[in-house]
Amino acid sequence: MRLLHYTLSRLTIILFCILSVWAFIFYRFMIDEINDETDNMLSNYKEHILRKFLIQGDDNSMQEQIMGSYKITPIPKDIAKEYSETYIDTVIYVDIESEYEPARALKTTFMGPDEQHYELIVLSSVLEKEDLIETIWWSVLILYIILLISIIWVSEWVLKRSMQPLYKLLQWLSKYTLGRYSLAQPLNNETRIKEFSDLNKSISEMTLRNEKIYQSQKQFIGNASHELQTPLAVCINKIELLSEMPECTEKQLSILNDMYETLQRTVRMNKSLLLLSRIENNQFPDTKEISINDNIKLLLQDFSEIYDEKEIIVNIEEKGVLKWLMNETLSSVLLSNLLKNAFVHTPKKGEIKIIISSKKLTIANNGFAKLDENKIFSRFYKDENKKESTGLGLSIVSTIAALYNLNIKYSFHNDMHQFEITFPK
Amino acid sequence: MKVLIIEDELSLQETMKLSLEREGFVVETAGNYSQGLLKIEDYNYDCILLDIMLPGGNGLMLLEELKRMGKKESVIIVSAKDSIDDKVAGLNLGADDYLAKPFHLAELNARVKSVIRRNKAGGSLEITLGNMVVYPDLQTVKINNKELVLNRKEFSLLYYFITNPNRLINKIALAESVWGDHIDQADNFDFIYSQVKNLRKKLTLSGASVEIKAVYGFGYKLVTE
Repeated sequence: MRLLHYTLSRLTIILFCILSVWAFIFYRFMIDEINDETDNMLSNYKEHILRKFLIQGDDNSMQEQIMGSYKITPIPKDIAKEYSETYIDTVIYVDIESEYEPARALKTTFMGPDEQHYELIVLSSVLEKEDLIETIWWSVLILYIILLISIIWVSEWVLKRSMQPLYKLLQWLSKYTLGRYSLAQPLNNETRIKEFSDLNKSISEMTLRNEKIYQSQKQFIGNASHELQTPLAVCINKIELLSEMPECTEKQLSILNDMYETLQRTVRMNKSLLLLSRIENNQFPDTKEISINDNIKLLLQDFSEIYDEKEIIVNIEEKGVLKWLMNETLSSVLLSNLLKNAFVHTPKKGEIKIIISSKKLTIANNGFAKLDENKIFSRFYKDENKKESTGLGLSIVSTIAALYNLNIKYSFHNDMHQFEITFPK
Repeated sequence: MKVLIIEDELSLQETMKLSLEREGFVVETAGNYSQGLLKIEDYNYDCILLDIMLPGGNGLMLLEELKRMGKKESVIIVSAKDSIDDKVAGLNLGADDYLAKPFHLAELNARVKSVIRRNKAGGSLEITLGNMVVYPDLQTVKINNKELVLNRKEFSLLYYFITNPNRLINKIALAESVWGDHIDQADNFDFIYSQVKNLRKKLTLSGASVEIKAVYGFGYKLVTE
């Protein structure tokens, strides 16, 4: 739910409650005011009738007038003593409309000149309350709708304008990638609203901080692998010298060989880490159009030779020509890592299937069980039976893919691991 | 043949020196920029192995200095950086080759011999070993004046062996020299075994006086009789 819609829906509900209460109170006030006025009028009327009655006397005990009517009835003295003046709501029968209409009545007693106690009821037809309620209801409803529409319209306008920096910030954040976007495209989001400018500042500072940490981490990996190269070279070359000494026995040579192979594995790992850090540092800027088809076929020659012993059947299906603008070194690293992965992990006499279409490259190879697709591209994730593997090959693949916005997907079906790279057109 | 090693890591410098001396080179060393400059100014060498990161200055500056003096020495940059920029800069400044650390000694020998051979103006381009003559540029081999037909990989293997005669070469170094980085994860080196076996068979059948010997568990050695 968008902030705007959320705010407006809340406003609508709260407004509805407030307006309902307000309408009720307004109605009560109106009714009270009307009653008050009517009572005042009745009181005045009473005075008038009484004066008239006491001066002239009146034989006509029931008078009907336009504004109301009154009735004077003699009552016994003891009832009159208990009597107090009251206003009540009642109804009167109106001949013309032949229906009962609501009315307000004043009941009181007085003593005539003849010492006789009389009861006086003064009636006044009041405005029709039902009509009033209806009118109030309608006006409140109309007020509600108008208010709502204008509030929605105004707040949408105001919110949209004042939230502009927030939306801009969100857009920037969604595009933000550590190490790539923030430096090339700094957050440019001037605003007079303090909260937003504070937010901008905090986020800018935070990304800058992250960037620094990220950079120093990258630099650390790069430097560490770099600094390791020379000591590794010394060790490897010393072993080579040692192995050539005539007094070396076969047993010693075999131990030297183990050391040598282990060191070579370290060298490979180190080189892969350096490569990763270089790719992430964008140190392969030159691009040219690479034919994936040709590249694959060239690499397959080498791999078929190297893995000749495994008697792997390689099927290549070219549905189209796949050409892509990328760095020559990186394209070769990408493809050779994928192919190497397939060759290394295919069991003896297994099958490798390669399908190239104009926008997709699929490399599938025989395997036994599905691998964890969430971990397969992460660094140092490797088959526990393959100790020689650096666990960095597929990580390099995914880093290169990310660099060129290629989509890489792993799946497992029909006893085959499948890597699918989609080249966006 | 005189080789100058300009390298600040003394342990590595010494190893390189020992290995090159075994190949019959006269080796001199320098441990920093100023020492290197001094030697370059005073003597002539057939090949200079140059580290880029040196105490007291950049190896590339030495290379510029060398070119300014009009010297024709072959230069191989030996760097731990292995960055394309350095490679390109070095080669543009007139370096003949670029060798990334860490390297195999056999590879170092091969590279040094290769640049010296290429730099020898008008000299013989072939390498003779016993009754075998190898023409690296033509990628052909003659034994007793009869051509021996080898495929590309077999030739690369043989070339690596003849640049390191009578030296024990580890199978990884051999594999890397022929297949480059592709052998990264290879889980065994059987393929090297079968390739060497084929090459050995061809050499024996054609009556070559050199022989490739397997050294159990470690690698191979080209033995001249």
